[in-house]
Amino acid sequence: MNNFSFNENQKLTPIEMKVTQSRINDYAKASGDFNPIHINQEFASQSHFGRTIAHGMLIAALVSNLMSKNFSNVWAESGKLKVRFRGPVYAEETVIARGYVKKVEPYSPGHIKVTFVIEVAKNTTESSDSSVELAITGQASLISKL
Amino acid sequence: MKYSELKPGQIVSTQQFILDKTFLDGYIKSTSDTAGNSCVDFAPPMSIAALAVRAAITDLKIPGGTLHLTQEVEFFGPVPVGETISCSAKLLQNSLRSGMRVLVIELSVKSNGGSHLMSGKSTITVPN
Repeated sequence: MNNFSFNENQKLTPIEMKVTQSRINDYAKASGDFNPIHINQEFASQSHFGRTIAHGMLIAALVSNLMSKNFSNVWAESGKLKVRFRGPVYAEETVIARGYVKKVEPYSPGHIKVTFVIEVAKNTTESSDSSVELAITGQASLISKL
Repeated sequence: MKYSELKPGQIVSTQQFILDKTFLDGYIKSTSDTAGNSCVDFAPPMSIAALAVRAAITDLKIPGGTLHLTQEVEFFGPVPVGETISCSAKLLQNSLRSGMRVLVIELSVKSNGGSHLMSGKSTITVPN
């Protein structure tokens, strides 16, 4: 495990992704999830969403990428994530994953558990805005060396 | 499939996958998740979860219109490219909420050697 320094309320470096229909189609092929709500315009237009939406796991992948980019292999070694899909991400929308350290606590001798608040917001910039639409909210944690 | 007949505790899916370059290239292209640039040797952690979910939705024959409500995952270590993984899914809850069938599924992923690689829990709503 690597050494990182953690302070409560410390912000993670956010990452952004444009969710094109092409990206959604590619994710359907990679994941094997061909639910027509994601890839079939006609089916989706008759759903209550009115158009195609991204797979939840595609948006969750952005959160995992956020954690990997900020904490490298520590995320793969001990990462834990709990998310709620709050709203759909439509094709051609842009999302940003961001988060901050909520709690740092002892875990075992020489190790700490770090808990983060994370979210994925739609069509916004890096600046925090409480009125933005959230696609995902949740909590992540990892175990790091002191 | 008659989802109302599924019982909590029932194993609803078991599948094996190989984390080969073709799958990982497609996954990384679609998600841009390079796992902090460690994906040359190791799979992005969430790609394991994607396969675990894939196994469950395939074996459960999940219909169009199904929605993902929540997801939990826990990773236990980097998984090397080329690894064969075994995914299993167990039904934890099966209920009706506001006319929608809600399934809670426990996911478990192990290596060929039996090491635990990932665990998780998915909550989905299936059109009733």
